[in-house]
Amino acid sequence: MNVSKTPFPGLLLAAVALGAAALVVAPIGTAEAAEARVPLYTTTTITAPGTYVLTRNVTGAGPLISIQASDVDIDLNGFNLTPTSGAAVNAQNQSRISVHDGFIANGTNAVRFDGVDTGRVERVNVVGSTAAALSFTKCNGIVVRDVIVRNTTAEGVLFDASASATPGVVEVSDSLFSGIGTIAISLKNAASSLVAKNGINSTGARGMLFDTCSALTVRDNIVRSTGFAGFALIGSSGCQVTGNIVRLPTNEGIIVDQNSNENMIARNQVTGGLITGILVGGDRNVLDRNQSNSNGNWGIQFNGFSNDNVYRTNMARGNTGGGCAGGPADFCDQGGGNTTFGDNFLPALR
Amino acid sequence: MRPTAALGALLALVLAPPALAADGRTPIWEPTTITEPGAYTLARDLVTDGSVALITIAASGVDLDLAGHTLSGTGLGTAVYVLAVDRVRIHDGVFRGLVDGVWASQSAAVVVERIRCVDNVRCLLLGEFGPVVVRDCNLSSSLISLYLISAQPAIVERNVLAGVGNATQPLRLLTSNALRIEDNAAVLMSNYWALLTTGDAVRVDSNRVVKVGGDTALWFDGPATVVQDNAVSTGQVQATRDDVAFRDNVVRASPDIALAQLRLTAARALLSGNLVSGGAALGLSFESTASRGVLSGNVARGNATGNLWDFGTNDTTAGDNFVPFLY
Repeated sequence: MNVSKTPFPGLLLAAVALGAAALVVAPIGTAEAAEARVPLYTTTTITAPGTYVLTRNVTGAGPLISIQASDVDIDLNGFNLTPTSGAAVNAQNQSRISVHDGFIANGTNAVRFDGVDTGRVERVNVVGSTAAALSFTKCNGIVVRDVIVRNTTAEGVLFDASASATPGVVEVSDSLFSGIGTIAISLKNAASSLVAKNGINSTGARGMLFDTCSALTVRDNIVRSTGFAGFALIGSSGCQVTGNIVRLPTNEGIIVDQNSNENMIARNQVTGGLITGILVGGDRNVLDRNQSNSNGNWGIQFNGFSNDNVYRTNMARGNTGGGCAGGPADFCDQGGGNTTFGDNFLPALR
Repeated sequence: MRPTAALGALLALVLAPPALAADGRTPIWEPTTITEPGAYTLARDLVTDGSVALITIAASGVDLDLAGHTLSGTGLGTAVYVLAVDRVRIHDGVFRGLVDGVWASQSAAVVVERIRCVDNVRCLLLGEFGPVVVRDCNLSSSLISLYLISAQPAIVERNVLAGVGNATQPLRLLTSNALRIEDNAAVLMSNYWALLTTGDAVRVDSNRVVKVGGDTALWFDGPATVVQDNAVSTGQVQATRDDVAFRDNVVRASPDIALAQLRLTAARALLSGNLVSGGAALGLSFESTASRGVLSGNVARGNATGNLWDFGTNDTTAGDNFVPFLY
């Protein structure tokens, strides 16, 4: 048979009707309890706490689902939200909002949270957003996990707490990003946050940006084929940046800028960049056991802003400019007091 | 209970539509072509004679819940055939006795989760145009259990690849870049390779592979691959492209009498913190085509014909390796 969305037209009507009926029969057993979720089947404004389930595809001018209550769980239930304009899901100044398990195509944002405290977006498959696909402004306690974002015009995930009174906490993990117009994952004024095990391929700008952040864990991400640097710490300190792979960045692989201090940069691999593999401009950072090979300039560079960084057991070979900048083989220092025990493998050439 | 109340309760039970209908998902109960986006749930087992795919997905934005049901054949046919569409999720079912479980060679943003596959020629063939996730599956086939082609980025994690079907190449991941292969278990393989990759920016982390015969356990034929925290027993590991890193792996007891247990043939490999022991030939080797490799903090002991052999050029060791020439 060829199946369209409603092979049994009556079935859908029954399903919609059951949304109300289920509330009546809910006490009978667990199956009915599951059906006690409120069905969503058209453009909706949610004004009461509760659990909601999408029961058909919805398209139209956004926001398709506007959340104006706290304690709301939306199960997209494998269905599609396709806004012709605006956001698919929008929430402002609410708490404990969850969106999960479905598909979102087009519109400005797939999910847009402003001023949301404690929110989750999980197992959502997004394509074609014209602004940040998953946008979180002045939010705190956000989890983005197991999502796929493709072919966007702007960011994949934008978490911007720069206008918040205090830094925000966010997790972005186990997600895939492809064909991102600008930055795949952009965090501003985030703290105590996790960015882990994401795969990024093909971005128009940096793969990841951490701007004015502190105490981040950035680990085990793969960043490939970026339009600018692989990823950058800008004014960010006290971060663990470990086990990431950066491949084929258009500029540097990893940037730790002059205002980023006391970060641990360890066990990362950077290869095939057009210029320097790992560029450090800040102070008192540690570079440990990184592999920075086959880049278009130096493997590792401590530039003129950098002071008192320590590097050990790094490997940098096959870089066009040499293993490191500003010193003889195995010693790098274009700034002041950048120090090594000499156990690196940073030959002047090769 | 008063009669009216009892009648009301009875009517509620009798007239209630099937539970699955309550969430609006469309049931599938026979071979089907899905032509519109949405959520679909298999309502019964399906069997093919091989002439058609049991379920064809011809629309983007489709969630197919197999609901624990089995799609099976007698050695022919395909369970789920995905046309050139995107955003497809297939989950929670069984494929048995088919040529292919899922064939999605021209699709993007495909997610496959919690599939059990037995007695197929291939279980999953995915890729070509975009992201892929394969997670929490049990896969066993006679040829290739998971075949990724140009899937990028991709995640392959928490799968079990049992060797019941004696797959020739359980994980064949070709030209798939930005790929994370993590926490998979491959056991009792008697085959060519438990895992073959040819893409770049590949991360292979915390997998467990035990072989009972055949040749190479893990073969990395793409550059910029990071292999760490894996446990490989009775199988050989090799990397044949530039700029790879092996960190903190355990490789032991390879029965191969010709190849080193951990064998490098290209430039600028980094070997750090690995334990390589008890092999039937060499422990670590840089072959003649290798150059500028670095060894740091590795332990290689008890390998029959030597623990470290450098046939390459300009390979470098730090002083903290424990790789006596013999034993």
